[in-house]
Amino acid sequence: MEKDNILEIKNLHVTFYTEDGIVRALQGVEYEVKHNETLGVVGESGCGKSVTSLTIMRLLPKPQAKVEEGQILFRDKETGQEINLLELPEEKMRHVRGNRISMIFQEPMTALNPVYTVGDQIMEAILIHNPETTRQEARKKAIEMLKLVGIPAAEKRVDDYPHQMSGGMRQRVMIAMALSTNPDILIADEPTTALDVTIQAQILDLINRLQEQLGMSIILITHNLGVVAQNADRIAVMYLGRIVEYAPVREIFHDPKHPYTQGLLQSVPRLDRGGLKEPLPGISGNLPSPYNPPPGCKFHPRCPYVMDRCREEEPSAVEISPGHTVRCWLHVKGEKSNE
Amino acid sequence: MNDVLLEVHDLVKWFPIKRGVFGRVQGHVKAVDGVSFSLRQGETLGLVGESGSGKTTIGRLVLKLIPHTRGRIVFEGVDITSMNYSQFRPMKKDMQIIFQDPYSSLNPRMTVGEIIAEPLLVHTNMTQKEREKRVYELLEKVTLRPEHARRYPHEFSGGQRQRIGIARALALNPKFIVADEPISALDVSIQAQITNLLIDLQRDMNISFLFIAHDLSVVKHMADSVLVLYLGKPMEYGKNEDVFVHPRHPYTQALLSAVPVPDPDYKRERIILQGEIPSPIDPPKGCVFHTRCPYATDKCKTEIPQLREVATGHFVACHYA
Repeated sequence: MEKDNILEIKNLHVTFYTEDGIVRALQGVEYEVKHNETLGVVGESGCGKSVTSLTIMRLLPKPQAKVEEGQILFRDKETGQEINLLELPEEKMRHVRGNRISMIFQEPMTALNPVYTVGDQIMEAILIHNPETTRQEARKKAIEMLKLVGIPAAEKRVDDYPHQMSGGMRQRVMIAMALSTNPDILIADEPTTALDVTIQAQILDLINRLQEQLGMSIILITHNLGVVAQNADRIAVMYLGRIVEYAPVREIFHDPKHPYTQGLLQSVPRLDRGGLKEPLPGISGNLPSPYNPPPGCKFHPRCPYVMDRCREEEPSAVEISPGHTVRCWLHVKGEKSNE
Repeated sequence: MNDVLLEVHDLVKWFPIKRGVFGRVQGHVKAVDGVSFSLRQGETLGLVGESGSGKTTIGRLVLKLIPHTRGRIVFEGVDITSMNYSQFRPMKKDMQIIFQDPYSSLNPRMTVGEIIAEPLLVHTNMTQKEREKRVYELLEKVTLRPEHARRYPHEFSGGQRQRIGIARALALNPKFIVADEPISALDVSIQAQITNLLIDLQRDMNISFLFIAHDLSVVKHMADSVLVLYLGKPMEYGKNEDVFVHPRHPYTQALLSAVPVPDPDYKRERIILQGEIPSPIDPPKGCVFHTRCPYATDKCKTEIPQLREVATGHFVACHYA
């Protein structure tokens, strides 16, 4: 592992064996998360962005899902040790999950238990991971966490049930719960998708502030390019189980190399430019079925630059500049002639 | 060409809140509270607002899918508000709707052909042959293939289903379509396709859209004029440029500053609104926005600001705009 990385995913392959067929959900996914940095993972439905994070947490549904290959290396901040999370015994994994690596989800409505108060749920997280804490200390910590995430009158709201709170408040509670154990990595899976724009701005602002204050790495998973542009340091763009482009945030937005990244960026109307009712270049065609992916490059049926080679052979990831990799035959050619 | 197609005057919708065994009415949710606008032929009006702003309710009211409480809706110069069902029924042909969720808005037991032909069956005397021909025309219009008519909705992706919903809405050559968040359930690359399709159809068929959306970037792209709503009340109303380039209401300004822009170097003044949208059961006194407004004064807490014209065709409901 490199020194400033806290997490490294190497050549990860995950397959789902379902009644309807086999889905190769992840094929050679690789990324790294640096200390106190935010990695944005972007892609459309079925691209594998959530499966990757579930694999990190070892929460893949069993027995359908199987990790076929790969490593997930995690550096324990306390001991400095490198651990492969995929080989960790379950009881040790339980110490990492929720404690060192926490996760928040898209639906703050369903992720909270409706029959317990939010205080009880935050306390549960604290007590499980720190068995020596007393209930009183845990309650104090829960109130402190609610204050930290900006819930007004935290001493009172700690005894509220989830249904007494709005969507934005519930997402704050989820964040309070996830951060109550002071994790090294926070995985945020579409944390603002279900929220109104003004509340989305509040939550993103909160996550950024807490990252600065507490020091942690964030994996921000979203389909919204705007959300990652202003909140991530590096971006991984995924399509059908592969990372097709991986680069620092400015390179992705100012100099995208993969035709899919380019197409995605041209698919969204923008507040800062573009005329009324101008056609959006976008991407033609539909997302292929994950049960029956196209041969060769998975993007070739929708790619405007498709060549014969793309239909037969799948390109591998090529580093075109430091820290910027692309999976596309257009960019392999130049590389080959250099060799 | 620039004729007004739809006019809405001071539209109000209150939903009763019933409690107890006898369903006593305990109060009202003022879902829509004094909204006026007009829509020209071949143009798009964007209705913008967060949850609970009443944008979907307005869409249903103008189609008379739910009864209104007060106000007037005039379609093609005819007041439709007082019409009964049999008077209104022939006008329904001209007024259609596209829904947000392409999964629940298509009957899973009907083939795509049957779904698209249903409005023809209800509103026209076409023979089966004619209907079939029309279904193929419509499928082509939304870039689906003729053989798709025999398939069932579950065989299609979200984007394709939305095209089917659009084909159904177009079946009777409507003049007016309410598009209620038509792209927000779709993947990013598919959103662009459907947006382009709606723009092309508007140009070809001179359709007017009431475009309901929470995504301001899409509204800026689609709408000739924009109405910004907050808790059922109009905050700002004007042409696209008025609202997006020269927003005067603090709520519009805050909304615009909250939209994430896909450019890491895009700099702007960020206004992060504090607090949450108040409950529409018990909206704030005075200006409904004052509890979250960064510029609120004592006047805002007591006096309701009227929607007034600050420049030609540009209306703002704020004491200080």
